Amino acid sequence: MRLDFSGAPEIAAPPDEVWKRLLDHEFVASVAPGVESVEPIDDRHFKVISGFGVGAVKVKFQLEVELSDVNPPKSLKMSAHGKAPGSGVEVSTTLEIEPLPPNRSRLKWSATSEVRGTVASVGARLLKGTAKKLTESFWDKFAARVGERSK
Amino acid sequence: MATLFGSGIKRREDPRLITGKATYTDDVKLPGLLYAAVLRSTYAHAKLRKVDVAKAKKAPGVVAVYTGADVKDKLDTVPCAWNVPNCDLKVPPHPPLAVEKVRYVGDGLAMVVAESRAAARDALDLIDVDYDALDAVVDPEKATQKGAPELHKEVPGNVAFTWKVAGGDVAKAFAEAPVTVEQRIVQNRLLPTAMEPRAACASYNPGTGQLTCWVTSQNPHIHRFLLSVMTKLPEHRIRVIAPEVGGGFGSKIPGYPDEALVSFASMELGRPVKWTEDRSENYKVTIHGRDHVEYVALCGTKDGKITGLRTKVYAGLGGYASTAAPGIPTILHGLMYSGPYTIPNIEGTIYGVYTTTTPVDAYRGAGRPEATFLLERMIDLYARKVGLDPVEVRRMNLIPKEKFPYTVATGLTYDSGNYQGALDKALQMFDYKKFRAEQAKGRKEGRYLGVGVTTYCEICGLGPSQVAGAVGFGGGLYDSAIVRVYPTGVVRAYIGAKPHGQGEETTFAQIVGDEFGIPVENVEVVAGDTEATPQGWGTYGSRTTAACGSAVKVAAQRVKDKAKKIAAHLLEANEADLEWKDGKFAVKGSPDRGKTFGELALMANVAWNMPPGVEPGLEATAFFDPSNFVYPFGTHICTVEVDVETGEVKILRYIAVDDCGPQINPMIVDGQVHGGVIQGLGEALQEMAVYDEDGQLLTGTMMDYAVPKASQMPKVETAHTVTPSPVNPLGVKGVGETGTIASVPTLVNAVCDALAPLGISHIDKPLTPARVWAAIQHARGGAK
Amino acid sequence: MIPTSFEYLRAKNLKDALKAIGKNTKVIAGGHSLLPLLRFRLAQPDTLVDIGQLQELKGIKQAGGGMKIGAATTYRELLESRELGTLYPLIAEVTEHIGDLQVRNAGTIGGGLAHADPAADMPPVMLVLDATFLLQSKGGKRSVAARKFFKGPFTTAMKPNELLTEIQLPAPPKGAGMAYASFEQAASGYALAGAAALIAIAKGMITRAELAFTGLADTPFLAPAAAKLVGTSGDELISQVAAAAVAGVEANDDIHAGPEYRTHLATVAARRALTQALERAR
Repeated sequence: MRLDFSGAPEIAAPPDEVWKRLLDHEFVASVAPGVESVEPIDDRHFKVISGFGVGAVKVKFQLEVELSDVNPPKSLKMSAHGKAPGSGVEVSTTLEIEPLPPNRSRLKWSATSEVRGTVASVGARLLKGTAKKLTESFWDKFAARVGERSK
Repeated sequence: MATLFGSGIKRREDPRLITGKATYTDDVKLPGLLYAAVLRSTYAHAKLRKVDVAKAKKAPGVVAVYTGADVKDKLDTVPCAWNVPNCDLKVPPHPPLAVEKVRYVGDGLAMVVAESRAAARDALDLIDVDYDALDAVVDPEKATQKGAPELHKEVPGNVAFTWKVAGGDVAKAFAEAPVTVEQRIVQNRLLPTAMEPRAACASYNPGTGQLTCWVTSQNPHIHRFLLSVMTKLPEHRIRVIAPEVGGGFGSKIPGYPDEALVSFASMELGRPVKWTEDRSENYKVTIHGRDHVEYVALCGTKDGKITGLRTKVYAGLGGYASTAAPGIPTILHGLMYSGPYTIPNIEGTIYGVYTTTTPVDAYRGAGRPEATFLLERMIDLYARKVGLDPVEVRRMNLIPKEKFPYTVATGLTYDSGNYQGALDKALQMFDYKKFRAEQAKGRKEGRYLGVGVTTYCEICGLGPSQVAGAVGFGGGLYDSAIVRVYPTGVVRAYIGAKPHGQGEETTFAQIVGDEFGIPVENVEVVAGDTEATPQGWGTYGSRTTAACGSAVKVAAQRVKDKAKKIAAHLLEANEADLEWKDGKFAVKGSPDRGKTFGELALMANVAWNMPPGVEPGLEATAFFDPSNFVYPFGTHICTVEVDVETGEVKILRYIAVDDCGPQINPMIVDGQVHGGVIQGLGEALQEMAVYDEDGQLLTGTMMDYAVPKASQMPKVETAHTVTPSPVNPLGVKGVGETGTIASVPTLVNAVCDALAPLGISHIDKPLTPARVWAAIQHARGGAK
Repeated sequence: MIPTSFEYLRAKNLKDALKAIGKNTKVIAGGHSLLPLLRFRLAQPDTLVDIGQLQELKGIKQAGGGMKIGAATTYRELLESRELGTLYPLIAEVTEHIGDLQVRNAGTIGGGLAHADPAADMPPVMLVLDATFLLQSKGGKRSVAARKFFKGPFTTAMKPNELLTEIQLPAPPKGAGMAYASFEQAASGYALAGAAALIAIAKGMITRAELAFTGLADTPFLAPAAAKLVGTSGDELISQVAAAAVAGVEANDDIHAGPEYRTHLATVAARRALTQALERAR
């Protein structure tokens, strides 16, 4: 099942600051819901274990995350290939940071996900809303936290 | 004694079924039993990079784990058994577990065998699979287009076959016809949803080399053959038992990898192994039905005479060719394009197409509902275009009853029929003129009432074996029975077919009881065990009563013939002087000098005083091969009201007049009609298997796949006409599929009729409120 | 269809249950929402705490002019309560929509509300009745208004260590009529869109109007637009209010209904519910 979401939260921090946080995997993990561990392979590749879900639903995925098209401090592509028993997910996110002078930024993100297996065949009714909420709240929270830290 | 034939006695199957006392395959428990679970692909189309089972093998309770690589040299591929000729059929190998590639979500990757079902299931989560994703294609039409991903290297362009049917001169008919209607029709993909999912339990005895396999099967003898091919064990070493089978609707005809895999595991491990599907596995792995994209054109005169029909059909086959798949959209579909009508010119081109989806095979009606639907839909479009009443157009084109046997343009010869009679009967039950007046009045008040009338006929009672051979069906289509009389005068009939809900345990007992003049309670019908029953071909295609019931009748007659010889001997009379009356053979004119069936049964079995040259025992075997198919028919009428604000369809009345020849048990006939009609209304209104573009099945559970519920469905009013078939001794025609064949166009035509004032002529089924509403919005937008 | 293994704890009393719940536990009562998730392995708790048998959490009591319903009260018990049916006929009406007989025999009102399915029938009823939910934990208890309880799909204001123990219903306003209208998805029976309405009148004029939706958005919600009816006689305004109530709502989209159709159905449901509530108030 394909899901496309996007957003453009404003961040109370300049692009350099936002960029630094985007590449700080520990910071990103602290903002993301359900992350249990992050293991950097190199500065572009990470192994992540994370639980996704809302309410009673929780599926633990093993994710291989790759950063590509790295263009500091402007844009970045983040791809995740995730496996869980009976399910799978691919998420491809493009990120662009736009300066909002004097001292702020806008983080334009758009994510395309492909969900497979049990999660797709069981969750058709509810997957979209849930995934949207999770994705949006992740980036909104990221934006808010970067802003807070930058104060 | 009152005759049992024609008596609506209660189904003897039901008490055990509804009180939980029946034994299904999953109920089989054997000493040392192991449990299997199969890991299924989550990709619709991908190359397999690795299937790592190392962790699973070490998991607690796990006895063995097999991958495609482990079984590929030991098990043969899953065969396709309907090799339709003259269509360049391409059947690529279907490995029981995927080796290089997966071709649908649900394709098997590995099987875990463990001490408990839970341990087997837990171990699946420990198997690590890496895939290289390939593009999916789920639409059979798109799969044939240039650039579409290809599933099998042996099948360029994904086209498994191109089959043609032609009769008359279609090009000329269309060139000359003043009126032509065309429509693209999508036959929604359906999930058979038998109440009992599939299961298999295999027990191999290394001492004797015998394999016993309990399978959810509509045709245990076919499964024995298919298992023999896959396991490479000779057929006489295999015993297939289909115990209670909880519905099939066609989905338990095919051979699947699963029964071969448990058989293989049992042979490897020397212990019995059982596998039972769960519902979401059933939806992903057990065959689906329908899935056509059709382009249909019909032509005729301005005064309602149909002169030609032309189709181009893309029939989805799924990832592999299932057992009977090639025959469904061809022999059982294209040959029925004339329906009950005299259409002189017919041409159809059917492409069987591989797509990255669950294999598609026979589903209740199997090809014939699609044929009836497209024909009935087109006739309504045609009637609207020429401005004639759709019932009158049908009446004008029906084959007249005096013309039978009648050969239609596709080459089939219909056995018998009285199509006008069924139409007349239906119109006696339903005041058509009055409804049209109400409809006209309603339209002025903003109410949208509609009526659909279907006159149909179908091919069933499959069929003569000679035809089976000619059309590439990998088996015979006769059926068989042993009628065995016990010393105490009770009887068992061992039959080759395998009823699984149709009630033949009752109706066949009625046939035998009548023949011998004994109470129905004294007759038992045994089916489903290849060790006990003679070679038969199973229960599908509304064939069981016509083919196997006839075998029962013939075998019983043979028994009776022998009993008569014994009676003559005991009564010291000539056979010719005996008559059968009131349950005994008596000398004509001296009814007191007679021998009851019970007395003769005892004598035959103890053989103290047998006629010279007559063997002891009282039993007979019959193999009955019909001389033709049978063609049941009828008229269905449905009225609806559509709420144009919400798109909801309310069924006001549903009338089914069916002619299946003489009825052995009218209550069971009505039950078959009720079930079939409801199943068809499910297809027409709400059932559809939905794949996304990546080949993920989004209707993976009953939360999203809308099997009809009793509360959603109307009362079905049934009636019958009786036109015997000349091709079998019972005169019966079969009634298992009439409901799914007739009801779908009846409902859709009613809704399209209701919405005619809005300019709506066609909506693809299922007619969910969302689709109907969207069509109304579209029509209104177009009108602005 | 086999869950991952878990510990099963049948709580002896409420205190016992409150002590047991927390991280990686799930509470089970009727089990109708949870069991499918367990079987699909979409939920893999370490421990299941069964509160279905706790008498402390059962029962329907008069309280002030309103009523209190124990969270583990089954749907069937709701239907059988004459007092509840008299004071809040809407609850009985909606309960009949929920599942089938077997589901209603075992499913509980608290379980359904805590599960917070965005298309469930009962939440909008709780919203229009302005119910309050009593939440208890080892550390104490607090009350949360239904109107602040539903946070998103399957997401509520409850913390992992809290248990929904009681549903408190205020006295219905004088002269109130209530109604629910919904369009069910044919397979699941959940609402594609549904609306609950409550209208109170005095001397032919509307004194209070409440409207809430389910199935339409990612969570059941109360529509403030209903307030426009107050001070009017209703009738001709109802269609406008129904349309205004869904304006700007981001509607759900799935294989059964797109956002446009859902929004339309929600408008129709709102109109029908408001109209019927008004008729009943009269």
